[in-house]
Amino acid sequence: MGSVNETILIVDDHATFRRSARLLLEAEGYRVIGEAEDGRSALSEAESLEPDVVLLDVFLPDLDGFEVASELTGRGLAVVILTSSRDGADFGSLVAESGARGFIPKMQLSGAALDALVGS
Amino acid sequence: MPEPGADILVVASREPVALEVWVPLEEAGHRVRTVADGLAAITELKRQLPDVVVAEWEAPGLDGRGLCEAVRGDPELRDTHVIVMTSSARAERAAEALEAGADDYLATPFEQTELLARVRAGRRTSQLRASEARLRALMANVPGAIYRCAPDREWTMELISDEIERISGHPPADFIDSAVRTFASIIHPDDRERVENAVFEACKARRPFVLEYRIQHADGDARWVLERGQLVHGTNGRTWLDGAIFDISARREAEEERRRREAEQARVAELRASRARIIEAADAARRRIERDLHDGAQQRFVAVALQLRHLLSRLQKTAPDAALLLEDALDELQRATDELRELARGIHPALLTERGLVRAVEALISRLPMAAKLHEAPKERLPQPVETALYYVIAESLTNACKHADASAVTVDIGCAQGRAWAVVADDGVGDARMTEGSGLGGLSDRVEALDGRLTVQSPPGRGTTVRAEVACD
Ligand SMILES: Nc1ncnc2c1ncn2[C@@H]1O[C@H](COP(=O)(O)OP(=O)(O)OP(=O)(O)O)[C@@H](O)[C@H]1O
Ligand SMILES: [Mg+2]
Repeated sequence: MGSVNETILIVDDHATFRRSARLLLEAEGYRVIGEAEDGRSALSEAESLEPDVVLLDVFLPDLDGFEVASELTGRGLAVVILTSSRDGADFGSLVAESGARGFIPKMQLSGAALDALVGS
Repeated sequence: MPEPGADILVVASREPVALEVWVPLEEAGHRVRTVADGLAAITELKRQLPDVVVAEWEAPGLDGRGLCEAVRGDPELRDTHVIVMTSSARAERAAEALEAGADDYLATPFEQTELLARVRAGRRTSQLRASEARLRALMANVPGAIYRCAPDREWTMELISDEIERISGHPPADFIDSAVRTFASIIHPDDRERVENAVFEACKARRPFVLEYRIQHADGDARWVLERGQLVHGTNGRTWLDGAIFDISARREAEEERRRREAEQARVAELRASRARIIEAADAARRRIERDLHDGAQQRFVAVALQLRHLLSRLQKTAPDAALLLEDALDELQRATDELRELARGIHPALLTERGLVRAVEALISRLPMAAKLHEAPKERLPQPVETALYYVIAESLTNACKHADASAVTVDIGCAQGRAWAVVADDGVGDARMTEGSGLGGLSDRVEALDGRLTVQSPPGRGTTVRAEVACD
């Protein structure tokens, strides 16, 4: 696992997802340094915590996930990986256009999947 | 004020008599023509009607009697005022002359002043007759029945013009003195009291009245009439109602037709609005179900999957057999989640609500097993019901193109301008598609029509299929 000790911020409005993602990723060597439940707090948390990676849900209650992604990458705050329980095909070119490194369907989330995108 | 001169025809066979009449009349400012006998008089009358004729009773050719009879018998000459000169020695002549149709007589010899006075009176009478004739012509030509009637409950007619026959189917004579029927009897029974009240109230208030009511035509149909009239005071203390009645059935019918049309349009609009509301409510329910599936079951599945995957990474080191089993379970869970997601998408495409029609259509196209292209698309979002309707039409048409068309390409266009929005899906396949009731496309026309829209399918055999939906969008 090449990602040992990479810090990560998990952004999702579902608490169960944040909890299970944290357990999974921590078991696989990531350091989860924060959680956020909407777009605005994601931006402020990213600013203050300076994570290496932001795992960002596409659908957030306040802002659009793609907008948050461009904001984060535009300011060089972190590597952004988008995630959703929906089909990645639904988003077409939006993922690339947002500046995010890639997209992982929630069901397929794992340290290895994350490594594959973050390491690239 | 001196009256302007009158036109006078003098009929006198003897020179002295002619002079005796002619000279004073000319001097009084009248224009005088003179002829020597009755026959010449008739010719002259026909050439130009004078105001007054002064004729000798005894004349060669056609005498006074003959002249009077000829004049009264000719409709064109009938109104001419004729004064006959008879000898005062033969008093019975005067009676004869009047009997024959003369209007007046002068006993010879006469004073000039008497001649002038008689002529002046005659001229006034003939003017009165002329204006009466004009009035009659006017009454006959006005497109309404002009009447004078008693202000009683029968509306007993003193006179009523011929037009009433066209309006009611009954000749005017029927109503005069209520000889055959009263005017009240042809007023529609439901309107009689209203007419009575309106007229009597207007009379009491000394106002003219205007009312619309129905009469029963002789042919059995009801006709709408407009009546205007007012109370007038006649001679010897009598009062009358003078007025006119117009047939307004055509106008009324046009109005009723317009009202019917408007009511029908309102009904159609209301029906459409209620359909739109029903569809909206159903869509809202579908959105809610999709949300619930997504936020509930699907999130649980995701959480379970992540936890299992967590477990898997541990078991892989400690219990590889169990790990294999767990991997199968994860695959199974993945398939279940995929199915659930498809189900949710079928219930409502969340992408449509969240990212709009264009994005949702792009996603549809990306999943299609054939080449498809979105050509034109508006940049701005459209109202939700519009986006939803167009989305379903596009989705169904794309599915059909894949299932039935055997096409090499399919294109989608979405547009919006001037209060209309549309979607066009065209393939180059086998064509000959039919919009059948209840099935895919047919079922969508309800949705489109609820938005004041139209769904059309052009599908000539062998020449591809074009589905076009156009809806109101404001
Ligand atoms: N693009 C097309 N090219 C050729 N034929 C078509 C096309 N679209 C529809 N059809 C024909 O028209 C019929 C009616 O289509 P429609 O979508 O109403 O029903 P369906 O596709 O048969 O059923 P459903 O949509 O309910 O599953 C189809 O059965 C097919 O024969
Ligand atoms: Mg179909």
